[in-house]
Amino acid sequence: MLPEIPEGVVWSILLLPIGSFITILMVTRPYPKLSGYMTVGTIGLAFLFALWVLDSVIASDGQALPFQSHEWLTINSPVGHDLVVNLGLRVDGLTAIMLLVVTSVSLLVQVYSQGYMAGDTGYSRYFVFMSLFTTSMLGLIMVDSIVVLFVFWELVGLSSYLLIGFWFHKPAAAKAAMKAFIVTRLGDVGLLLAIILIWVKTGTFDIAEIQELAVAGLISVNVLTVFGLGMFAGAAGKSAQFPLHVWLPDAMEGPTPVSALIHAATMVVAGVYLIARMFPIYEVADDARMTIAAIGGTTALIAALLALVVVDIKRVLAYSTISQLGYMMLALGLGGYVAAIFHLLTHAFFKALLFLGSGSVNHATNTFDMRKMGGLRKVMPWTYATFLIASLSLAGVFPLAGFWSKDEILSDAWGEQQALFWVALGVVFLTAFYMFRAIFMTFEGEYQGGEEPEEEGHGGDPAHPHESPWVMIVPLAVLAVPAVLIGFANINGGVEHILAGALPAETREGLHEFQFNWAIALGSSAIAIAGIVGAYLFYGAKVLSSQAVSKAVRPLHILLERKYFLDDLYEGIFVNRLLLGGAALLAWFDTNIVDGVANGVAGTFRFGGSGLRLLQTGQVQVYGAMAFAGLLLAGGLVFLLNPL
Amino acid sequence: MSIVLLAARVDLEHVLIVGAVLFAIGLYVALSKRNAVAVLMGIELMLNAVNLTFIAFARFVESPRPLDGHVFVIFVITVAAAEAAVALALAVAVYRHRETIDVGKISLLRW
Amino acid sequence: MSNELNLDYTLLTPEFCLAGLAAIVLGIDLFAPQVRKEWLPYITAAGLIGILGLSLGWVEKESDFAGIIAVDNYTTFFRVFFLATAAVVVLMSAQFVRDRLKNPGEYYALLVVSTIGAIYMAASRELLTAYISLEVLSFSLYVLVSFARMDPRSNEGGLKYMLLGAFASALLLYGLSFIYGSAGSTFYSDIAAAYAGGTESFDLALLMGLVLLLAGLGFKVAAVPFHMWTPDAYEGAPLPITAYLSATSKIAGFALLLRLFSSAFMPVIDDWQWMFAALAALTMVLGNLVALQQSNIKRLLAYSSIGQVGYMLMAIAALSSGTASALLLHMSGYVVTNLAAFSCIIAWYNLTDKEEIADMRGMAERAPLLAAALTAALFSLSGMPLFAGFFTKFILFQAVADEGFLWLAVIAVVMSFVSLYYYLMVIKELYISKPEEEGRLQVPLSVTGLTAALAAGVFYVGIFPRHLFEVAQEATNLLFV
Repeated sequence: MLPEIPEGVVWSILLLPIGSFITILMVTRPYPKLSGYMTVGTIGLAFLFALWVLDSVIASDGQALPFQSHEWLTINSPVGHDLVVNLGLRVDGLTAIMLLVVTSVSLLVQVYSQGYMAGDTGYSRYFVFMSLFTTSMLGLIMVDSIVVLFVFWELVGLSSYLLIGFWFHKPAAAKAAMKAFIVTRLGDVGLLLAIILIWVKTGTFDIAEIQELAVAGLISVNVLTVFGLGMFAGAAGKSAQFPLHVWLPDAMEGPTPVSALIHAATMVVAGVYLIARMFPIYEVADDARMTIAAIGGTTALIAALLALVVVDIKRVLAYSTISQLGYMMLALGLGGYVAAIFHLLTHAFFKALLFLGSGSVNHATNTFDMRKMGGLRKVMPWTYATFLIASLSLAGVFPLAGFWSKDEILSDAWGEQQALFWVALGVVFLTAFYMFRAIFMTFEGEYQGGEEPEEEGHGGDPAHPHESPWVMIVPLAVLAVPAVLIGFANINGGVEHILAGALPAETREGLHEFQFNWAIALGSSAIAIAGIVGAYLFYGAKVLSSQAVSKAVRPLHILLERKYFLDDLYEGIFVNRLLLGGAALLAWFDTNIVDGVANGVAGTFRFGGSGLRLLQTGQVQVYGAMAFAGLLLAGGLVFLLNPL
Repeated sequence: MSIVLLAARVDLEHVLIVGAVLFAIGLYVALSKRNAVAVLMGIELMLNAVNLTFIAFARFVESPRPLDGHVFVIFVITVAAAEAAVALALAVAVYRHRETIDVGKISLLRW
Repeated sequence: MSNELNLDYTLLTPEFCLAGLAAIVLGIDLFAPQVRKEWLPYITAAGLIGILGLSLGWVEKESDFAGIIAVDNYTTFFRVFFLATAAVVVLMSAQFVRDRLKNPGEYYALLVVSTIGAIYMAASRELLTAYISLEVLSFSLYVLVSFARMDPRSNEGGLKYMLLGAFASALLLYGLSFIYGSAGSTFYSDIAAAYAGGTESFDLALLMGLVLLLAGLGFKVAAVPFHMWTPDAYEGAPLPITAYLSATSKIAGFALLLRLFSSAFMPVIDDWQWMFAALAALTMVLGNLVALQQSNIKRLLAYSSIGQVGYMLMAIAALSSGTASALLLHMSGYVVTNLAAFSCIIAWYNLTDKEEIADMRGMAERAPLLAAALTAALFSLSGMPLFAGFFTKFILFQAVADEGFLWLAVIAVVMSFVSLYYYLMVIKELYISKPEEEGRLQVPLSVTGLTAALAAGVFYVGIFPRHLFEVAQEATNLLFV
């Protein structure tokens, strides 16, 4: 056993990627290889420290390590609360698990990137952004103050904007980056308002303190409900929950290692982390909690349906991620705090593996379109094997990692809310079905030819697909290990124990005892296998025709292909009509109606002067008249508010 | 005698009303005349109304500093003169380009 | 307050020096025409920096000149603030003025003189002094806006600005006359004393005075619906003057508002609080929404600065010592950010003659440092963390919410979300669109240095808001005693 970790070492987990960010930016930008090694080295060290953190946290039963906060900004107020923003660490079971996920996946992705990004003109820039992202993500999970958390939260959004738009010469990538940034920030409005609200009501930003106050019943339930919903708005943006999920599939335009890191294991789970971090509050605010469960369930179901129809392999994975995130939210909403985080842990590994696998496939064929793949099993045995393992794990087949965590969520749902349980069970079937649809389309059958490489980006010869270089294969193989085994981590309640330690005692007592339920385990496994068999019948053996089915349910199919028309709704109505339209209206109002009104005002001055000339009042005077009208309005209000 | 009576009847309200009327006339001129110089004249009228009001208050209101209002007026008159100088110079500059100082036609900048 | 008048002229040394500097600048222009072309801006900037150093000698002093001009931490704060701003604007102007404007001596002298006006707006404790300072600033600006005599847009902008400014002055003065009539004095402290017991009943003169005052000062700071001159004057003015308008002119208006309302009208806060709240809400909403529609970068920044004014007005509406120092912090962050943005835009304009947003496409390839600094500035304006805009806004919104104006804070948060959209549109042009012409542009070293320093300032305020905030607190704590 290692000694308890000193605070400086924990900080250095955060400082290491900052260091690599600054060094690459300032010094090693002209030497791409060096930049790459630097990133890998610092993350590797951070990973070792994260293991040390885990060790210390296990020793403390998952309770927060006793670190002091450092004052960063204090604003004294003669009345009311002092505004204090502290820089402090909160390192407990939840943090330790998240650190493990972020650093390990990040390390493997960086190694993989050395191969995937080789020869790209922006190689150094890529690692600058990656380091910035890792820093923000690590900061997000380690800090003890909700404001500092929000700062890192925004930085995560910013660096993901930079990474998704990394190939900014592709218009689709640029558009996707902007969409991701704006949609997630829309959720952040709620988060920021929640922070302001809780500060006005309690005068603290300290997470532990807010939790204590909430559990002790010192904050009214209504405030907590609004606060909880605001938090969830932020979480829904980042974690791509319905109806803010639309950015994630488009974000697949970024480099694939970015998708593996950001859109599988880290950024998108930030929302789940946030809700889990604030879990004691949702235990008090029941309405907010049930809202989360309902939205989580909806998200899981609709995203799984969408994954059935897309033909881009990365988008299948993107929808699958959304669906699984919905699963985690569902679990949190139903009080399954441990189950949700456990699923987050297992999901991070097998989903990152799937993304990296899809990148490997793309490396060989230059396309993500599954209709142009096929037959890759023989030429890419390593990729195939690891992809298969991850898919089985995702589908929840015994005894792979996904089985255990999914099973916990299902049994929590069974105990809490029957309707949502059936939804979750339906999603199990869909998940197995779409994953194996992808496998059969990609790896089985005849090779369909791939696509010629673009000018920039990375060329391979699509006519002769080949296995990827070892820097890409090794991370796949390494990731496959936890994708198989990590599920056993909680078989004797180890993960549960340290996660529960992160909660205040009152909340901990209210947690569900996890009971292994044979009926659910067997039932869900059977359903998963049914999904696999179904996919085989359609896409492997082609006994059934998917065209025939989609024709039979044509309206449904169109609905799915157009993604429930949500994109059209957002762009057509919200962005074009409401926002730009509203702005146009205001601009028009500013120039036309105001003219008219002002002319009217001028007209009242002119007592029946020639009517037509009034319409040609000069601009300056319109401005003046407008101001005068404002003045009259203010004057009128004065008299209204102060009756004589 | 009638003069004395009249003087006795002029109190604060009357002067203020004259001031307000003057201000309104100035406002009307400033907002409706199309010649930039005429607009400026309207503004000067408004300033004169201000001066009248200041004097009235200085004369009628109990104040620890009875002279403040008068001092204010002296300065406003000075500023108004400076204002006229700057505005006329600008009007000349505009006239050189456009050959008009019709404020209704000076609208290159909009939207 | 003592009856003995304190006529200690040394208190006003920095302003005397400024006047002297203006005279020297004009003199050089007249008598040493060779020097003036190259060196005038640098001489002016050096003089301004020197005076800035000098004015630090009044830190922690608390005194006043004849009861009309206060020399306290608040004044010192704004002395430093306006002098630094003026120095930066002078440096930004160097190339622009040399290439495009005539009479550089008058240009720089007017900038210096306008700084005196701005400083006294913050320092005055009496209505007449405040008004005269306001006009000193405004008159210099009227001339500066129309300084590009050969450009019809500049003339037009100047004339409109002038006419509306004079109109606003008339409204303001009429308001001041009512305040004088109601309170019987033009000194802030006497006004506060006159209302100390609260007004017994409906005080018509006071209310009319306040409404007119609000309209007049609303013009100066460009609050909706008194904002309409802003886009025109911004677009017409020579670019460095646009930067100056968005910084000094606006901030000086707020410096005046803050001292006036905190030390004169605090007792009657119920009478004007709602007016400012309504004005703030209107200004935020209109400024940010109309900004979405703009295609010229100056007009875009004009509307975005109107939006910023809305945030600042919230602080006046929720006036307290907390919001006052938050306001000073936000203004500082805003000015540093805006100057950084303008320094990039001016450099780009000097190199390419383009100021439409669409013409900025490909800046990242042709002038990467400018593009990066402009991006940083725009992110800061939209309130991203790490950049100045986040914490200054956060502290401001928080302070406003704490004073019971949660609804205003909600509008502000939503509007800063909207603002992200139009800033991103600009950033998209910088980075994503293909440039019209190929080839790197040679940015002069001095411009690069200035831009980098301003961008560093944006990060400094964003990461260590504490230092500046403590200064702001020192500056405002005397206002609320």
